[in-house]
Amino acid sequence: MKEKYIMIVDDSDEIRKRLKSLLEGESYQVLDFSDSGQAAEYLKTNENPVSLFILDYHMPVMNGLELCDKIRKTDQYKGTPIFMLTSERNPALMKKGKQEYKAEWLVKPLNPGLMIKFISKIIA
Amino acid sequence: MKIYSSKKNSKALASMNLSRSIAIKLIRYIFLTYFMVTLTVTSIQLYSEYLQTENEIVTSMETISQSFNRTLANAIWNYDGGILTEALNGIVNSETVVGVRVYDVDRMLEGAIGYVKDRDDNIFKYNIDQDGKLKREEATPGGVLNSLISHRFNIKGSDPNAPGIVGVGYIYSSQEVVFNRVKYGFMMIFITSIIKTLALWVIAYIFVSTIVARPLSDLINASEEMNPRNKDFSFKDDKLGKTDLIKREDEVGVLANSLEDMRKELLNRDKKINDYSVNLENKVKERTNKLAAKTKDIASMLENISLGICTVIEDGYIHREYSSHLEEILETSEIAGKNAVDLLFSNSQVGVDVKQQMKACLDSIIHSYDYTFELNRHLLLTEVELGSGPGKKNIDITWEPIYDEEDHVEKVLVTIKDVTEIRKLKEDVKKQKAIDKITIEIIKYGVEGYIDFHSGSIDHLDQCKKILATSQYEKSVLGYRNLLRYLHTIKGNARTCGFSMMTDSVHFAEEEVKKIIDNGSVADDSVLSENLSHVERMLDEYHNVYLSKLRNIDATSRAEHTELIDFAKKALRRLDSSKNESKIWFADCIAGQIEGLNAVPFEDLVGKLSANIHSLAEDLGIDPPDVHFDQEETFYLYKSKAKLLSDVFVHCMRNSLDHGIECKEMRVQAGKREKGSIFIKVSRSQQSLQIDFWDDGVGLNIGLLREKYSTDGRDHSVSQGMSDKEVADLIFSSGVSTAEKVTDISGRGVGMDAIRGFLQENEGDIGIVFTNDVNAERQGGFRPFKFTIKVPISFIFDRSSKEELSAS
Repeated sequence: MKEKYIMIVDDSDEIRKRLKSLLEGESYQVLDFSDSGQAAEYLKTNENPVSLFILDYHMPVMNGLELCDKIRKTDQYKGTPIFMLTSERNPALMKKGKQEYKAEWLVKPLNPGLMIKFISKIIA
Repeated sequence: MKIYSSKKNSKALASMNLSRSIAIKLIRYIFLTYFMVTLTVTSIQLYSEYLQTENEIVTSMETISQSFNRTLANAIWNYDGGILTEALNGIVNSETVVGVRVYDVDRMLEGAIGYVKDRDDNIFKYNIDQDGKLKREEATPGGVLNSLISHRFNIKGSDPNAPGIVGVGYIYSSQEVVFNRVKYGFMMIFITSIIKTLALWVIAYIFVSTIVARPLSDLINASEEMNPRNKDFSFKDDKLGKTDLIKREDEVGVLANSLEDMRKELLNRDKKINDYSVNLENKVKERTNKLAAKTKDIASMLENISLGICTVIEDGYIHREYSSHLEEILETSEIAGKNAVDLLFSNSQVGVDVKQQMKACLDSIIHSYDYTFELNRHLLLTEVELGSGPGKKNIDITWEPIYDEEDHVEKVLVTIKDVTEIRKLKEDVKKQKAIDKITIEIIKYGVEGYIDFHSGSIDHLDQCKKILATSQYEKSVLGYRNLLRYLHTIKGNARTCGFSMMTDSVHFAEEEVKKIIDNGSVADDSVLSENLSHVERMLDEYHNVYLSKLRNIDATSRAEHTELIDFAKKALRRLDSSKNESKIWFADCIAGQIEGLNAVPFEDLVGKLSANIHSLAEDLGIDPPDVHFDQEETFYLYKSKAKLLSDVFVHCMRNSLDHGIECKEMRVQAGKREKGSIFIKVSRSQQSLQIDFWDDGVGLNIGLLREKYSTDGRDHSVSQGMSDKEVADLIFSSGVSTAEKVTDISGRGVGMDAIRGFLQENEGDIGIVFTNDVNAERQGGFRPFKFTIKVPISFIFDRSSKEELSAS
């Protein structure tokens, strides 16, 4: 089976490590970045095609939606699923994320077990 | 101009712009073409006429010049001005001449009359005045005179002495003259052309009207009649008079036929469309009715259902449709349009953070995929307590997505259930279960043992509490270890006693202490304190069960014991004043009373056996028989004796089931009830109790018994000489049975002898009594019988002796 790459961009080491460990346990290849700028640079290299993006909204320099914008501007990722993580309520941002970038919002704290289950269905 | 005829005020024709109609256009084109041709031809004709007339005038001028040549030549040659003037007047008087000029070759003499041109083409007018002199005037320019037609001629001398040409002359005519000449001709040509044009117009009108306009207007009228509303119309219908159109073989006929075909096609389509329309209308109506019914049902449900139901839409707001019961649960009527989380959890202890999370969760769910809902739903609370104090409500909440056509979550269906009562009942049931469990555990272990456990545990727990109250230092040195020892002792005891809930409770406390000891750091005692409180509560729970359920039983037995002691005291007081032989009676009497505490009513014994007979019958695959019990009075059996009689009855019953009561088919054949019966009758005599046990089966096979007895190595004559009673008694002998097969239940020939033995050991006996006459007809060697069991009267607990004694 072809390897599936999942990109995690979150400035929280704890969440990033936790998700990475879970996803790698399910034989996914994880590309994790603490900085959204680095993630955007990596995408330009087009090294490994990403099947799913898990992005934190609140990040320094470039927030999740801005990174989303860069991702969607790449032809290859126009329809790739994006999970946007947030712990705060902001209906306007959520609407924007859903309408403009087709991002699905997950509110923290996450249910990692359930996430793994659905990821396997989404990128099967 | 009306070229089209409309019989029924045709709207189509009325609305038509006639100037654009084919007929008018045709007429117009014909007329214009003809007009142009006529104009051209007429012009050519006129021009030709003009040229011809002009030529004629020139010819006329030549003729004139020739006819006046001699006169002019003589006048010039002779310089006779008078003659010249006369000649010139003569020329000018000609109808076609407007002027004349002559001069001799030397230009010595010159004469002119009328309109003439000079060398420079200037026109002058010469007149002869009253004195007969020639007078020159400037001619007024313009008019036809501007275009003078001139004819030059040489004046040839007629005198022999004169040279050949004596002078030159010019005769002038004008276009006016020409026009005057052709005027009539022109008029005639013009009038003829107008007449021909008008004639053509009339002819064209008649033909176009007849050939084009009328058929077309008929077709237009017919096509107008041929509308979807007029379904009876047909080009082929003689009554409607349209057949002429369809019979035509020209373009109109073709068009009419096409229209007829189109009409049919349209009618078919119209019918189909109508059918579809009706069908669609019915479906829509049906659907609308269903929808209305559904809406009504939903509205009714929302109105009457004992459940809070609402939907959450975009931005977390509650939709205007919700169930009435929701108002009751939330105690407000202001629900629609409120934020769901704010409304549902406003009167709860749910914190702001959790509420914000839920709001964010709802925001993320709406217009998202199903998995987004699933991945966020864990944040939506499903249980909440509303209010406080006695009015506190326990609420269960469920959140379910409603999807739109694109499988996105359109809204969230929320059901809110007031489970206060149910929760309370569950708690009660849980408590009751715990009580039952505790009760069983205490009874199993024994009440006395429990009391010992309880008092010991209370002491140990007190020790634990004392240790917990000491300083942290003291605890850390030895306190926690002692605490662990006490707890371990309580747990050990609880486990030995089988008090599982107690064991579990202590286990948690014990684990907490172990954790503290293992960590070795300054401990937080709050958890341990709570654990100890739990142990204490559990101990209380056990003890409350004991106090409320088991102490009463204890009290009853104590009361009975007290009663017995009172009885014994009375008996002893009486014994002091009695003879010695009475002592034995008293002793027996007291012993009997003590044993009587556990006396079993005979009825209960039979009841237990009746229950037991069902499983026996099932083992044998037969219907369980009815057990009929009859007793003269209520007998109480001493417990030990009841056990003996129980064994006796079990054997008798097994005997009945295995050898006595026939199978259903045989019973029906013998004219008996399908279901067998067993009878037990208890009667009392002075010294004994007689129990008769019998069934309505086939009886005892005396013949077989007799035979079996003989085959067991005995002389046949011996058995033949025995009476039926003697043969029947053989069943109480070891190894004799009438059964043809050995079953798990009976048939081995052991049992009845043992029973007789037990009874005889207890001063009782068992025998057989035939219930029919010896000479009665026998069926296959069988005789109906009953067991008669006799036991001493001492088997029963005689309450009367106590009453008698008490009375005395």
